[in-house]
Amino acid sequence: MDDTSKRKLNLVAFGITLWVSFLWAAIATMLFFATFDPVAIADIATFPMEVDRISGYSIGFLLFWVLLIINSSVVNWLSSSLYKSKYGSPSEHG
Amino acid sequence: MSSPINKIPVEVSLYEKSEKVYPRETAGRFQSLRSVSMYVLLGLYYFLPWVSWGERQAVLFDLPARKFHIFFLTFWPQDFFFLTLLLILAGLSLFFFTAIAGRVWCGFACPQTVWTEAFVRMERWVEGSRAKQMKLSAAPWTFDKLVKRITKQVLWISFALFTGLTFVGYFQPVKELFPAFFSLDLGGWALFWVVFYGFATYGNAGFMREQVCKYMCPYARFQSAMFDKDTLIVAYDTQRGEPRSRGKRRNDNDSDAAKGDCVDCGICVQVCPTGIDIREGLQYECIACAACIDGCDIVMERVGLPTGLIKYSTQAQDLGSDQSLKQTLLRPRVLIYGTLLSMVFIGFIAALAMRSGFQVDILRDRNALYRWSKSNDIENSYQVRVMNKGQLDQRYSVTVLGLEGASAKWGKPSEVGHSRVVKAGDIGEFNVIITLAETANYKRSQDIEMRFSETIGSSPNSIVEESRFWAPAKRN
Repeated sequence: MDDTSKRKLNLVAFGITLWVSFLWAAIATMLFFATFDPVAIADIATFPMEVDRISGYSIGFLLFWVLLIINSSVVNWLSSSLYKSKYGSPSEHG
Repeated sequence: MSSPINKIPVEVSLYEKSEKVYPRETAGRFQSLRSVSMYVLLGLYYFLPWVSWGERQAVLFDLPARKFHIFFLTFWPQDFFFLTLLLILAGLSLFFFTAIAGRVWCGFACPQTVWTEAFVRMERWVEGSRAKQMKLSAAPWTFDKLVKRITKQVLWISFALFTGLTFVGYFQPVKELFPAFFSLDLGGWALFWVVFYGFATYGNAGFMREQVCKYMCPYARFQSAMFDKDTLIVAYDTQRGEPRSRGKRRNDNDSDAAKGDCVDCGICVQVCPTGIDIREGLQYECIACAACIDGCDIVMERVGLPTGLIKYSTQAQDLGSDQSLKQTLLRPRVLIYGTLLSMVFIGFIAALAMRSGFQVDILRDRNALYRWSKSNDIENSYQVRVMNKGQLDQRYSVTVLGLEGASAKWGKPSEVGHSRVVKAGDIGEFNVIITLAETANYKRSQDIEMRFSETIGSSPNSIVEESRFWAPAKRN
């Protein structure tokens, strides 16, 4: 595989990661904040913090999203090297 | 001696290079239907936040107040159950309509399709027809091209920002949001979400387009599980169309070769927004927009052949089934999906109708199990949180059940026996005191019930909640 198509492949994989993580972050945010009020959570936080609800929801959503992106990216990366070691990359076999 | 050619490694790209699809404009009954669908859905989206219901916005997902207003209904986090039901309903509807008519959702109602169509139209409006767009794309950067590209981008970006602004208008009062945005007063998270959603719209509808359907949409991948031989799909009539031939060869009367009806004009490929050739059979990229049907019908009319070479059809029909539409519709899969759908729907409406107008949480006073009143009665105190989920300002009355001789009263009533006013959509926190004469028959601890009733309105609801009543150990 040449470098450009490899880069593009990675880009598509990253796009899929972003999107799928986005969906699950939205669902997690909905479930989580329907159960817990961000203002109440901020009240009992270890570090003093003051958040209004909109910031609470927004930060919560972004946090879920970032976590899911990190998780899926690492899974993507590790499992891609797994395939490589087992079957070899296409360029090695031609 | 081995051939050196075999030893040269061949570069294989796993990545399918995506060429931009320039869908050719077409007209016909399905495209008219898509237009109508697009205008109705976009109109609904942009207009709905501006509708008022009483003094408030009719549809407002008021996140800061943790309340969702939908016309005459107000949902609380406690009503999460309804959202779950709604999602199940949406899922079942998708199953039901997919089983009947294939991917109608994709072609006519999916936001991705609708906004893409809007963006394609803007592009067409600025840059002209498909041929002109392709020419412009290949042309060097002249002044004319620059003007057209900038106009297009300005249109796209404004429309995307308008979309983002409207989206946030579902969560914040839209009548304050728009003025704040245009006077550059909008800041913080509201601005962030306007730009975020606007950017997502711009990227998805302006650039990604059919790639979202091909690479990102889960539905495109699993819809085949809901398909069967009687599902409506956009299909090319291979028997009638093949062998296709065009131009000179077609008009050559000397040729004895069989001629199919397909004139191989390629219109069906050019009009396709996902850039596939429907003549190769059903493909998962097909969003069933039926542009190829309209395109082909026009050509068939022009060359004097019957229309419907590409048409909505089912696999069974293509194999010569003569089942009527009614028979096809009443097949088990459709009936099962339909029954489930109507059951959940009826349940949803019933639950909504039976939803109580308020909710009560009782917390026992933690400081003392009981206390003595001035007149030597036993008193228990309770903290009561009343959520008024109805649309009227409300007062509540309280009575005690299950304990003979006991009476309940509000800690600080404004009217005898009635709580203070709890405004519609508000929470009131009160004290309830239950009094029992010392002479009454009681145990150290016993279950009691409190009945709370609305006192205002034509059909007052009431709720019974359980709690405990503590008393001193009996001295006999």
